[in-house]
Amino acid sequence: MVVTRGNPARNRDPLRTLVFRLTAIAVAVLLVLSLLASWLALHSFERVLYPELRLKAAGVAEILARQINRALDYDIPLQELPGLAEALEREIKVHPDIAYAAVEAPDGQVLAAYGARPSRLAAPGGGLASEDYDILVPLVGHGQAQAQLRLSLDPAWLTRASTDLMLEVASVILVSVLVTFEILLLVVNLSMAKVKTRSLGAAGMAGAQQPVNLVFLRLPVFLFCLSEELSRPFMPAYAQQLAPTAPWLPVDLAVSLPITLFMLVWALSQPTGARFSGRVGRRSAFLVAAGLSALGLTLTALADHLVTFLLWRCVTALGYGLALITAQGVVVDHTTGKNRAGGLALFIGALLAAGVCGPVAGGIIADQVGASATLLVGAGAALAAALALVLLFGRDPRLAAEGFSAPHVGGHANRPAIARLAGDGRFAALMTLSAIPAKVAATGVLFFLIPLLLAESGAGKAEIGRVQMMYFLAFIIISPLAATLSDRWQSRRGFIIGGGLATLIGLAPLALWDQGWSAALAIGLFGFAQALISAPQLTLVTQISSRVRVAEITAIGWFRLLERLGGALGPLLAVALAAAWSYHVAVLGMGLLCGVSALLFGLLYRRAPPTAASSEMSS
Amino acid sequence: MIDDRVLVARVGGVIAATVALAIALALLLAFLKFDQRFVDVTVARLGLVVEEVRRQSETGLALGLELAELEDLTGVLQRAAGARDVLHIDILDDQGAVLFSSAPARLGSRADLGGLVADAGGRLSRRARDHELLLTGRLGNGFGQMVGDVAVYADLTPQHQALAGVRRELLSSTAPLVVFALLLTLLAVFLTVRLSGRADSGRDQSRPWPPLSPGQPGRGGGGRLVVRVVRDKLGGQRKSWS
Repeated sequence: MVVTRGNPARNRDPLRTLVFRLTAIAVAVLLVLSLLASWLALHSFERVLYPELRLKAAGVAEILARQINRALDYDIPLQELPGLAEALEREIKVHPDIAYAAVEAPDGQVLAAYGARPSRLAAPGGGLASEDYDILVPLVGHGQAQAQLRLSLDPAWLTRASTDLMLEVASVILVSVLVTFEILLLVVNLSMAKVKTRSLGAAGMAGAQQPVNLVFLRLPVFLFCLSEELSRPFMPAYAQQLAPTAPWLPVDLAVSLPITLFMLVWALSQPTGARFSGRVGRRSAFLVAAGLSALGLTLTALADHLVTFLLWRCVTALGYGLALITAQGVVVDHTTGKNRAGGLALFIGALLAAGVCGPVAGGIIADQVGASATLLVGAGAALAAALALVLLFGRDPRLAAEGFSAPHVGGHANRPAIARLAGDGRFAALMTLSAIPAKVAATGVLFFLIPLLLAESGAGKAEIGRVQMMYFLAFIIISPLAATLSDRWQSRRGFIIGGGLATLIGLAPLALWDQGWSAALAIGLFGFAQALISAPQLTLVTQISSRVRVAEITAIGWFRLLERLGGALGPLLAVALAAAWSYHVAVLGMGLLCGVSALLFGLLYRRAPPTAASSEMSS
Repeated sequence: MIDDRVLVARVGGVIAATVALAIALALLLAFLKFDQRFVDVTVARLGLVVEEVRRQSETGLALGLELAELEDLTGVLQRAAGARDVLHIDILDDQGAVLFSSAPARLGSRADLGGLVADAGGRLSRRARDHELLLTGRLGNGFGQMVGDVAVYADLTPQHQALAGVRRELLSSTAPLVVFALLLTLLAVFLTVRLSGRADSGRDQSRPWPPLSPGQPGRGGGGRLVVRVVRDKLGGQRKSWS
């Protein structure tokens, strides 16, 4: 795949166009047929579920009737029976599938009631008449019926159950579409590579070396990132379960430590990982990284003590950091300043696709087979990533130790670079008032607070995964748009301030509501806000780097390293706020951190004169 | 020979397999979720029996009686065991020994409480083995001490039969759908690749490539998209090499 810049209409890649068209076909067929299949399934489900709900409601009615009948046997008139409405209320509150309960006199007068009688009766399996939803039990005193008890099933409960199923199906479709896109891109490029090799042979240029096709890197990176993303919806809750094995550690800290340590090891592994990857070669480094991650995930799944759990998370993080810096190394080795943005966009595309697929798939798998089995699936995905790299690149010497010539990121040689960067007030402002607060909020809210907050309010792992997915989905959609607009309007500072304030606006509602769509909406807004910041931040880094005479890639390397170190603070800050107040207040605190930092950034970041340097990365 | 037919076969195969797999997976997940919900409703219904027995037992315990002294529990258990799907109900002491039961043969035996999983609320624990469901609830005395358990054994055969019926129905109604999806996808891919090839060949007329020789992939104008794209790309490379 040739990565181009400039006029998109003129430079449109026909292969990419073909892949998009084919993906559109897959989406269309999937949507139509899965909707049809889901409708058939829901119809069958509700037909079976509804009688079971009626049976259960009849059981509730029988228990209530027995209590009331006892009073009638003592000759207490129903009108004077104390606590009748409260008894109805108590029962209805513990049975969400019952909407209404009432004691009715023979003339139809309601003596006591709780709830609202459903007016909308449209559940496919339940029938359409109001009687289909009512359970009537006579209230008997001294062998004579004196009144009746009416319980009404809640059709909305059936609708909610159906919606939940539909959301699950929709998640599977979304994941399938992204996986189809990844595989199609690969299949079409493989076909093209074969023709290209033969065409070169026919033209008498068989010996000419083809450039490394970076599209082949996408699938290994996608699978590798998927291995880690699968565990996002349940990692804090998993640590919470193991917390009692280390009673000397406060539970809140025990829950936040796995994420903090992961981020820390990941960040710190970058400079060493880059050197290691350069020394042993990209292929070997990626294979080692995948092996480390697979081992870490397997042992994490088997860990029965918090300390060993933390240790294996660190091993996984080491593998994760090494794999990502190696993959970035491959992109940097085989691109030039002209097409590096496109190369990195391919890499980031795989990362984001895994970010969308991972939490959803992980949540669903964990709900069905448990968290440990999901971690083992993750280990399998890491090994599959290694296998994909071997199959796609074979023994290409350009991925061996001597096959690269890119500058290393971080490390001894770059110490003066960080000194020059740190000496620049704008870089310091960008890091401390935008990049680090944004990363603190991302790790603190997305990976730590959301799983705990939603689990506390009764959400399953699949639902948590769906909510986390919204962040990446919004990011994928908005990020390219924000990059283009911030370039066109030359307004990076404005976008960063806007993104910080949008983070506050997006997260603030979560401080009040975490039910239903509100959490998904808030996290979607959070992803939108972070997408506004991402590309403009990198553009400013490249502008600063040219001003302080530091190589762009080095400046970006330091930017990423410092940002991830900040990210390690996210769960710690979140746990401190949650321990002092609550999860809701902690989310608000994270939003405030971003909002206030953005305002300070707006005040302190001095506008620089325009330079020739432009953004190298679109995301 | 890589030409459009090979491309159609490859990408069509990939898309068709993914579409079929996605539909099958979506249905499987929906079914598993439904299975879970269906059993949850059954558990909630049988949980009413546990709660009712617990309420009556704890009334006696609150009066200061020992669990073993609640002689009238046998009648309560026999009445409660009349609920639909219930096999028998036991009252267990804190060692798991059966003190009272709706099935007199079980008196004095020790209950197997292995594999019980507590529900989210923590009030009930459950275990499903084959067709038998065991639901337990803790019994507390007036001082809040746990002195035993209510154990309700139920037969899930009717529920499993209902689920098997749904499974059969889904398979019979969706299998043709999946086959249809496969054929539709292959047709759509074939048409897309063919039309893309035509559009591309129309644009190619202005390009400085010589006509294709007979037998060379790409001849025919209608298709050979991949070959054309590769020629374009190689053309660009040749210029840069020269």
